[in-house]
Amino acid sequence: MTPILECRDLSKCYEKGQRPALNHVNLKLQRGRIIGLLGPNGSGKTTLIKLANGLLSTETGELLIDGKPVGIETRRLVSYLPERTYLNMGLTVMETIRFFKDFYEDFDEPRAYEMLKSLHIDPGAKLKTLSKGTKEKVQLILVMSRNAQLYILDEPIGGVDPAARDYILNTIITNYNENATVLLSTHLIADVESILDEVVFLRYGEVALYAPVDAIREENGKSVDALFREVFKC
Amino acid sequence: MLRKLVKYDLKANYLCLLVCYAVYIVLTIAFSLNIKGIIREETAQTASQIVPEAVRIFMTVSLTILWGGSMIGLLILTFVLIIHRFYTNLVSDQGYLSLTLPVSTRQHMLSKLISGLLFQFLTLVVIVASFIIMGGIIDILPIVSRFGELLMYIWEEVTDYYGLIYGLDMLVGIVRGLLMIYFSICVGQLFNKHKIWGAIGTYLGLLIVLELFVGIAALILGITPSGDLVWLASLMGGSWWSLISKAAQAAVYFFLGAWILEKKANLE
Repeated sequence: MTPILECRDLSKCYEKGQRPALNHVNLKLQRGRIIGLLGPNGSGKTTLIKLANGLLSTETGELLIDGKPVGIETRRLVSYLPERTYLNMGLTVMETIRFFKDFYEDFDEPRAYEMLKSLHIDPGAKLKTLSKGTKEKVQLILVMSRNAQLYILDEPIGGVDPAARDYILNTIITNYNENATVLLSTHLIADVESILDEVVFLRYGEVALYAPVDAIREENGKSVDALFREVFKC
Repeated sequence: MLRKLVKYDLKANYLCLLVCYAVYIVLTIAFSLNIKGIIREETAQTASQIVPEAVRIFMTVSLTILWGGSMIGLLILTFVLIIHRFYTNLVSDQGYLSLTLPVSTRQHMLSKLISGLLFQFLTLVVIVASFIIMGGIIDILPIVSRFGELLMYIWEEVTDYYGLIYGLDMLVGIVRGLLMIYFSICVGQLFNKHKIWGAIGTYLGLLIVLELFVGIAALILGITPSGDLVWLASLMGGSWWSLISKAAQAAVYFFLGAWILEKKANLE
């Protein structure tokens, strides 16, 4: 089966003479997994995510989504949550849902409203009147209401309280289908460890480790969080 | 998808512009009523008995400044909103959503161009309508209509001489102007820091280079042995050469801008 995301000798350098953000990365992510993309600041996580969404262009190598180079076709398959607020603050939550429905054929509107209801978010509220945490929840609801093949979530729980984190993680687990893959970048490893199937450790733009979580626990006798702290010790 | 993009681009600015149009029309009516009071002798005499001369002068001057200022402001605001929409929607935070939608960057550029032209056209219609309203209130419709006739006469003379091409040239010139701004913003976002200054620098640089190029080319191509005004026409527009040159520039800005967004997007 074609991997949902494949990097072939992928490199990216922002400025000449500087250390590359990604350095000859080779990676194949399979379907039906929740994968943690982990690494310290500047390790290349966001660069990889941006490349997968076409927000940056590759310099050398290739990045393929479902075997296709990044473009309009792959954007239909990927549901992306960036680490910043990317919605038009002048719209209401309801209008934003309509926007997503207009542009994404796979958008499940009833599912979005159901999630809004369970989080007590008023669909008629203007986005600019919501708190930062609520805006992030709305974004996550929009992203997870798509029946995408690949969900790319950049720091989805970074800005919310611990209680909301549990809800968000539960939302991720319950809203992606069996054939879809979730690629999740975060610093809060202990919070997400329980839902991860595999992890990718990035260090200085290179893949330091790509392994199933169970294997890590068995082989190293420690949690992913503990291994991360050991590998990336300052 | 293009239709949907245009819908959201129009939706983003229409409310703000509608409010401004309404304020401008109210100011036009107030200004016109004031002028009417001054022109008519009876009302002027009655007014001078009720309101002191100094207050009336102050009101007239204030209203004139307000009305004139609001008209200029409306033109500037339309322009600013068009540019702001492009910038915020494509190369700032909203770009993370816009550029990951399943639409091409050419469709994004086209949508922004269509909505921008529509808003410019609408503002023009409102300004023309304000003059008609003014004419109706002050009872100077015949003067306005004479002025209109004069404008038509000049237009016919010009188009008779240069043909329909003059109108086309103006239209393509507006499209080119808008695309030049969009293109400059696309180039500006390539800078890692000072993206807005990068865009302004690109725009000014293009203006200087183009003016120099057009001037030199028009002088070389336009001056004829008979010494007629072909060179002036080439310089000011209204020639095939000018039309083709503007259309070519517009095409370059459009495709290069879309290419930059597609291949060289550099969102923070």
